[in-house]
Amino acid sequence: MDLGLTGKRALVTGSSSGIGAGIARMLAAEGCAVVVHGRDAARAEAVARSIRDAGGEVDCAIGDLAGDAGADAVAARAGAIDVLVNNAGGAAGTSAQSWAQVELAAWIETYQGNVGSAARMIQRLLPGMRQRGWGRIINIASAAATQPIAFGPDYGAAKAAVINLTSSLAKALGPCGVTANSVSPGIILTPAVERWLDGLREPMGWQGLDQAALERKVTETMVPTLVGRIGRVEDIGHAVCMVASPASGYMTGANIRIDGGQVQSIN
Amino acid sequence: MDLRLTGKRALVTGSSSGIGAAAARMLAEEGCAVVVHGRDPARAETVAAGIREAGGTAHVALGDLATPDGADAVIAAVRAIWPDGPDILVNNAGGSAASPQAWEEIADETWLASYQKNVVAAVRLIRAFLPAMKARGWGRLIQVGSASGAQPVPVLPDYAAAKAAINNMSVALARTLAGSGVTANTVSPGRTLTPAVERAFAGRGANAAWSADQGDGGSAGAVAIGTPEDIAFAICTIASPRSGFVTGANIRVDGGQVKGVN
Repeated sequence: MDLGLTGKRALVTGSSSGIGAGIARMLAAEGCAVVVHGRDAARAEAVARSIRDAGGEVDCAIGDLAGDAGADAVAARAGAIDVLVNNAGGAAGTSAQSWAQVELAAWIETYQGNVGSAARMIQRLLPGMRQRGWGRIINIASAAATQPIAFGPDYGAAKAAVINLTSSLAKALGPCGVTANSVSPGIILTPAVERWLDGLREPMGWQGLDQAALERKVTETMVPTLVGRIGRVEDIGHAVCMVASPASGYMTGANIRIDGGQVQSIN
Repeated sequence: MDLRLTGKRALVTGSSSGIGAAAARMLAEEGCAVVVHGRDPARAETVAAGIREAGGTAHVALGDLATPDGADAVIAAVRAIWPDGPDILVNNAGGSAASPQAWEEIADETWLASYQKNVVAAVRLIRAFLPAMKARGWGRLIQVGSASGAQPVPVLPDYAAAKAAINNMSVALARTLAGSGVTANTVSPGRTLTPAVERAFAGRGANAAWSADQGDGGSAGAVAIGTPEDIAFAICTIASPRSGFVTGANIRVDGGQVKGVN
């Protein structure tokens, strides 16, 4: 199926590794010109190079979206963007910190990193989308937004705000040709999760397990999900490509869970 | 993007028109062999013939899924075509069992008939075809819900309640399918321009430019109305093997009609 993305220009924030890099690669494979964003130029350039080597059209934009100067620089470099994927985020500490460990400054920093950076890029890039009469704003939230765990409350709360602001934005946009949706990943095998998994082997007595068995153990015990494996960045990239497609023009204000059944309530 | 659906077998219930027909056509374009289901032989055959003319593979199974005998007939017809049943089951057949009436005038029979037509119809087919999907280690159970399942309007409460039950049932189903390779999800359309809706619009003097001020209590979304293809696209995406990490989810394709977050 041709998703109709050829010639669209997409900015994926936080795409110098992990889920963002996976999304950038898949959008490029569908014919988008992609702008890879990160704070570290060398890492962003490495992702860009791999996309270029695969035949994709790609630029890099470097900057810290937690401040206006960084957002201005990224927006200027990105140019006219049709598909904005607000993926940059994460927790100030780690999403496994306990309530007692999360200082007030970390709550603010996490909110800044997830909500502030998305709001900044929307403010900068939405006017052009409106003018052109077409656009996609896709905000990456988290399973933790609707099913919080006992840890990382700053992260879950910030991601809940991301879903909430997306719903508001869809209403503010109305029928202007620009849609706003969120995609909520469950546990995904990013470099950070790989490090966490490796750290579990010894304390859990899982040293002898191969990758598939390890993932089964984790999804049966620590992060209960239904599909018996940890998600891949391509699982999220597939959903983002679908929502980005012109064929999804009737989808707006939605939150798409890509979580292997991790969130247990109905939505 | 190759959705990797080539060679899969898909049964779409209620596919002799509207959303179901669009889903059957799009799945066939993606390389699925499809069974078109309906109650009216001529209408179902017309959709199947259209798919064949476009180069696809299409069969027909007839019967009323709201009754045990009708469902058995459909199951038997599908098994006559595919002894191992479908890989992809799209439970799209449904609708209200009666025309809109005042809430307190809806009879017991209508409430129960709407439940039969939407929920039990889907359950009958899932019971029949799920065991073989599990045995093969791959399958897709896609329920078509409704925006009204999450955001009811004053009319057709029997229909909305049944659609809410569809979404609930689908999550329970996903939970029983842990590790099986079979996923269960709901796609919830908002107002969609199907032949039935076009007739309703004509009756109310409205047209496709439906808006929030046209007597529906402001329930229209940011994007006023969808097409059957909008919904079919989401169904194809979920049917794809690429969506193996999506289960127990409800995908809203409603132009923002449902106002709350999910």
